[in-house]
Amino acid sequence: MESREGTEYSGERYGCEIINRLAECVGQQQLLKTLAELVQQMLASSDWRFKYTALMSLSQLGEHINDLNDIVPVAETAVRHFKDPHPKTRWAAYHVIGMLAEDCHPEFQIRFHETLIPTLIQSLNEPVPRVLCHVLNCLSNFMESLPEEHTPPYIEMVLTSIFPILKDGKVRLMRECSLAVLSATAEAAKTNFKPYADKCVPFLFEILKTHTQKEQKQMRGQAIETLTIIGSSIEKEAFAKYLPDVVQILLSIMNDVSLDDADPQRSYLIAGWQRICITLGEDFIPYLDVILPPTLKLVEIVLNNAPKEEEEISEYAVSDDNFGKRNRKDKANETVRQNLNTFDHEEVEIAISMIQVFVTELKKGYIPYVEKTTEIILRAVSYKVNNNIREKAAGCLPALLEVVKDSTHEMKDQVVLKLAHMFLNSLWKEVEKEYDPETLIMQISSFKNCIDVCGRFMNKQELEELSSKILLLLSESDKRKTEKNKYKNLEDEDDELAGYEVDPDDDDEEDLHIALAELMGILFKTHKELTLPLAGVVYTQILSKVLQPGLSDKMHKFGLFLIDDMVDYLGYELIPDIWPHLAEALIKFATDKTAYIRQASVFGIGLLAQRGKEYFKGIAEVCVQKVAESLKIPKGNEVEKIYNFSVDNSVATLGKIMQLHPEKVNVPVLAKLWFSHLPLKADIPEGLGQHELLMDILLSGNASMILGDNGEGIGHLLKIIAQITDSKMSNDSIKQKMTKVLKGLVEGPTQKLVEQGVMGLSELQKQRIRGLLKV
Amino acid sequence: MQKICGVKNVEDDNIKQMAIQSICLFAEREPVLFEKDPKLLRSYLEMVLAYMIEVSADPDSDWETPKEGILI
Repeated sequence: MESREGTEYSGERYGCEIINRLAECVGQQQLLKTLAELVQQMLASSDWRFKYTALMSLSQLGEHINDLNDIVPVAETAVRHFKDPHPKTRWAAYHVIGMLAEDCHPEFQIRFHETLIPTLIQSLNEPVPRVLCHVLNCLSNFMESLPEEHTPPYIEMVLTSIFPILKDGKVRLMRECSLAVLSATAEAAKTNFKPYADKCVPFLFEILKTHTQKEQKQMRGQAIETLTIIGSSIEKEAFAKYLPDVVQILLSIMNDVSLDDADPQRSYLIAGWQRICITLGEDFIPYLDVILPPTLKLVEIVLNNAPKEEEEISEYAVSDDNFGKRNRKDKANETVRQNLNTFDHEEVEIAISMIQVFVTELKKGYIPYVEKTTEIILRAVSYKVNNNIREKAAGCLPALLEVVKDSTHEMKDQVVLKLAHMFLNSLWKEVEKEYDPETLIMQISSFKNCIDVCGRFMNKQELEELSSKILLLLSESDKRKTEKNKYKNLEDEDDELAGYEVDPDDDDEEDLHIALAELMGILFKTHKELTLPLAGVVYTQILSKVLQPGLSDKMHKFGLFLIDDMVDYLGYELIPDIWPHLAEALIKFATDKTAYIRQASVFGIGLLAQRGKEYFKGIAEVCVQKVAESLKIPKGNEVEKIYNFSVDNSVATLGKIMQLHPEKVNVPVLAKLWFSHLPLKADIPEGLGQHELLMDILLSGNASMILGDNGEGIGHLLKIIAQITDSKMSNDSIKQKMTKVLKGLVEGPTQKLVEQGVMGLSELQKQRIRGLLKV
Repeated sequence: MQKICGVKNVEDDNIKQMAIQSICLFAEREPVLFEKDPKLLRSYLEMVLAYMIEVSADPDSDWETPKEGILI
C-alpha cells in the first residue's frame, strides 16, 4: 500500500520486510501456520501494540498466498478490528485490507466487494485524520483492481462519499487521498464512468486553477492523473469535448514545470501525456507538433551540456549508488566513464521514455518526427555521462525501426535497411565500449530487437562479421570471468570455511552470456541457413565447454538456451548431423537439480517433439521417461514460482508429445500422468495451450481416457476448471469449451459425480462452476 | 542473535536490526533448515514480532493529524 503518509516507523517497517523475506524463502505454508498461531495469541492481548503488530505482520502475507481460501480468515480478522478503540490498531486493520487488495487482486475484490466497499464507505466517518487517510488509501487500492463489470453499483456511492472530503477535507492529505479514490474508481469503471465525467471533470479543472501554491503541486499532479485516467476510461469520443482544455492546461503546466527541477507534477505530466496518446491513438498526432519539440529540446540541451572529460563534477550532481562499481575506463580512448545522476539526467530519462511511448503507440503516424528523433536518440545512445540515458535511448531504436517498417513510405525497405545498419553500428560501438554490465545487456537486447524487427536483412559476409564479433565478446567475457574468479575464489574459501554455500550464479558475465545467447537465437530465427557456420561454432566450441558438469547453472542455462533456439529455428532439416547430440544434451539436463535448468531442458524436448518429426519417434520413449522423472523432483531452495515454471514446462512437454506422437507412446498412461498435473500454474502461454488441449480431448469423444471409465477423474477436472476460470490461465475459447464440457457432464449419467465433485470445492470455486453452467 | 534482540537496554536500534538481519540472511541461504525445524522458525518469528512490538510508538498529535505544507 502506498506509504505517502509516511506513518510506518522504520522499525515496524523493517519487521514487516523481514516477514516478507521469510515468506519468500521459507514458503507460505510453513510460515502461515506458525505465524497464525502467534497472531492469535497477540490479538487476544489488551495491549494495542500486540494487536497492531499482529495485524501488520498479516499485511505481508497476501503476495505469498495462492489460495484465496487462506486469505479469508486474514481479511475477516482485519475487518473485526475496524472499530477497535485504538487508532493505530484501526490503521493497521485498514492496512491489511489495502495490502490484500493490492496483492491478491482481482480475486480478493471479486470475493469481498459486496461486503467491503459499503463497510469502507461507512468507515469514512473515522474521527482520526491519519486513520481516515488510510481508509481512503484502502478504498483506493480496492477500487483500483475491482473488475469493470462489478463497478456500476458502487460508482455513485463512492463519489457521493468522497466529494465532501475532496472539497472540504480539513487536512491536505485527506484531499489527496480522496482524489486517489476518484482516480482509482474511474480507472476500474472504464466506460461505466461516462455518466459521471460531467460531474468530475469541471471539478478537476477547478482544482488545477485554484491550487497554485507550491505545497499544492502534489494535488495538481494527482488532478492531472485523474483527468487523463478519466479520458482513458471513457474513451476518446466521450472525452473529446474536454480535450482542448485538458491539452491547454497540461501545456501550461509543462512550461511551469521545467522551471522547478524537483516538481512532483513532472512525472504526473509525462504519464498524463502518455495516457492521452494511448487514448487518442492517431488523433494524438496533431498535438505532437506542440509536445515533441520542447521534449526533444530538453534532451538535446542536456546532451549538449555534457561535461567534458577534464571538467570536475559539479556540486549538484548526485553520484550513482554503485558509483565505485561504475567508474570504468572507456576501453576505446582510455578516458574515465563516470556515471552521474543529476535532476537533468532524470528528466531526460523520463522524456526519452515518453518519446518511446509516442513512437510505439503512434507507429506510422510518428514518421514526420523519425529523422529528428533518430538524430537525438542516437546521440543519447552514446551519451557518456549517464548509463540510464544510454539504456533508455537504446530501447527506443527498435520502435523507431518499426515506425518506418509500418509506414507507407515508398522507399521504406531501403530506409529500414539503412536505419538498421546505422542503429546496429552505433549500438555495437557502444557495446564494445560499455563496461556497465546492465547497460551492456540492455544494448545487446536492443540490438537483438532491431534484428527481430527487420527480419532477414544481412548478407552472408555481414552475418559472418557479426558472428565473429559476438564470439569475440563471448571470449572476452570468459576472460573477465576467469580473472574475477581468481579473486573470488579467495573470498569463497573464506565463506566455505564459515559454513556458507558459495553462490556460483552471482555473476554479471553470465547474464551477459545469456543475453548473447538470445541474440544468436534471433539470428537463427531470422537468417536461418546463413547462420549455419555460427551454429557450427556454437556446437563445436561453445556447447561442449559450457555444458560440462562442473560449471555453474547459469552457464548450463546459456548452453540450453542456445540449443533450444537452434532446435526451434533451424529445425532438423538444417542441422541433421548435430541434432542427435542436441537431443542428448536436452535429455541429460531434464532431471537436473536446478529448476530453471530443468525448465529450459524439458521445454527443448517439447521443441524436439515439434520440430524433430521422424527423428523424434526414435527417442519419444526415453524423452517421456525423463520428463516424467523431472516431475518427481521435489521443490528445493528455489522460489515457488521458478519451481512451478519448471513443472509447467514438464507437463506441457508431455502434452505435446502425447498430441504429436501418439503412436510412439502409451497414450492412456501418459494422459493420466499429464492430467494429474493440470492445471498449470505459472507459465501462461503453455497453460493456455495445455488447458485448451485438455478441453479438446474431452470434447473429441476421448473423455474416458482422461476421466476414467467410471468418471473417477471428474472431481479433479472440476477443480481444474474452477481454478482456471476467469484467470490468466484461461481465455474466451477455453471458457467456451469448458462450458460445453461441464454441460455435457451435468446432462449425462455423470450428473451425480459432478454434484459430489462440486461439494468438495470452495465457495468461490462453486460460484465459478455455477457461472459457467449459466452461460 | 536472539539474546542480542531480547536485551531491553540496547539503545541503538540498529544493533537489534542487524541481529534480525543476520538470521534472515541465514534463512535465505539455507531455507531448508527453517522449513524442517518449526521450532526454529517460530522462535525467529517471535523475535521479529517482539522487536516490532518494542518499537511501536504511541500515536501523538503529529501522527494523528498530518501537518499541512509538508510533502512526504
